Amino acid sequence: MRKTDCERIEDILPLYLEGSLSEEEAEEVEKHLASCKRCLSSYEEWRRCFSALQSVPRLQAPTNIWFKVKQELHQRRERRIAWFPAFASLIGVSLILVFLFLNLYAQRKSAPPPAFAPSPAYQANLPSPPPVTAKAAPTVPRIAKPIPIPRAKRAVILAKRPPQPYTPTSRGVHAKPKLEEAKVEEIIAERLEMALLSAQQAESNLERAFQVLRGKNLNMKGGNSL
Amino acid sequence: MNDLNWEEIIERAKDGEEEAMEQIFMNFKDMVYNVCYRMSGRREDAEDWTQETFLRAFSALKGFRGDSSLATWLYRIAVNVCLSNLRKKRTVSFDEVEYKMGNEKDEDEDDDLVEQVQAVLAQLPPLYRTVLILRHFEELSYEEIASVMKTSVGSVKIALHRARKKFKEKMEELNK
Repeated sequence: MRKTDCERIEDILPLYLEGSLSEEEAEEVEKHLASCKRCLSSYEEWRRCFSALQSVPRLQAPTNIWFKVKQELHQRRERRIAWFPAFASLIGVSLILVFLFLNLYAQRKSAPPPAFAPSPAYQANLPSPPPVTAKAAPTVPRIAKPIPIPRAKRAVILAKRPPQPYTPTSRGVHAKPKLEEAKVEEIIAERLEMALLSAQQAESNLERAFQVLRGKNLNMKGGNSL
Repeated sequence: MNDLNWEEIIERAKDGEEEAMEQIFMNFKDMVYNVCYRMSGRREDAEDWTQETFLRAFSALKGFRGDSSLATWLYRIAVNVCLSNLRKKRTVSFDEVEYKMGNEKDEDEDDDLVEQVQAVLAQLPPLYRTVLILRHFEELSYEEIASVMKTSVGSVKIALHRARKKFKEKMEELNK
């Protein structure tokens, strides 16, 4: 939609007042104002606004601002100086830590293999691994299931333990009663016996596992020789 | 700017020489203070914001490459300080300005018209306030305002046109 003459003049009146219109445009505005009362009153309003804006005086800044600025600059410099030794020592400590770590790493790398590693003689006796093919991938040997503790033995151990009566104490209904020394010894003995049984079981399990592995190795050797 | 060798002063200030910093401050303090005062409408804020502007300027002086004049660069920092503080405070409420007009007569501005202008400025959005101050109080050109606000001359013209219209509306409301 095209703007009417009045709307266009209203838009450029501030530019006319600040003197940034071309001569032709300024003449056009003047002609229009001479013939249009509405735009003339708008011009008067704009003129009042401009003179109001121009009437604002410039103020002088208080000089005490410089002292505050200077003080703050000094404080910042002091803070920076105070931080420097702490920062330098932090860097020093970090460098020492890095050096120690690298030293430790180098020592570990050059150290002999640990005692629990298989000896070279044992490693030499190990069968060579089978050739990896798409069809026959190496199978992981299955470890034998743990043998459960014989029920009879468990029953005997449990039977030895006398039934513990319910004795509420001053500490509350659910508090455990205090045990006598003899009972404590008895319980320790029971638990030791149980631990011994478990160890025996673990031993037998390991033996079986080794047997299975040996058997597999033999089979593999046989396969290779073929 | 006057006859002083500003390049040399800036270089000395960059090296941390206090005398050079003081010269910069003394030369531009009124300019910065006036912008801060017109933007905030309060003398206490204007003092704090002027201080903040110079502190920021001195700590960022090493990055000043002279692409724009030192005055334009300081105007930019001052405007940024004002806008960020206004964002924190939100705008100065009209009531606050009216209260000041009724109770705390300003020593230098004992003029109703000046206080009306200040009250109307306080009601304008910060962007409009900025362009009006830079154009009418600081008498910067459109190009200089665009450089201060890091925008195009076209955007400055549009913002200024809207700001003036809003200012006129508010002045008319106040005088009804």
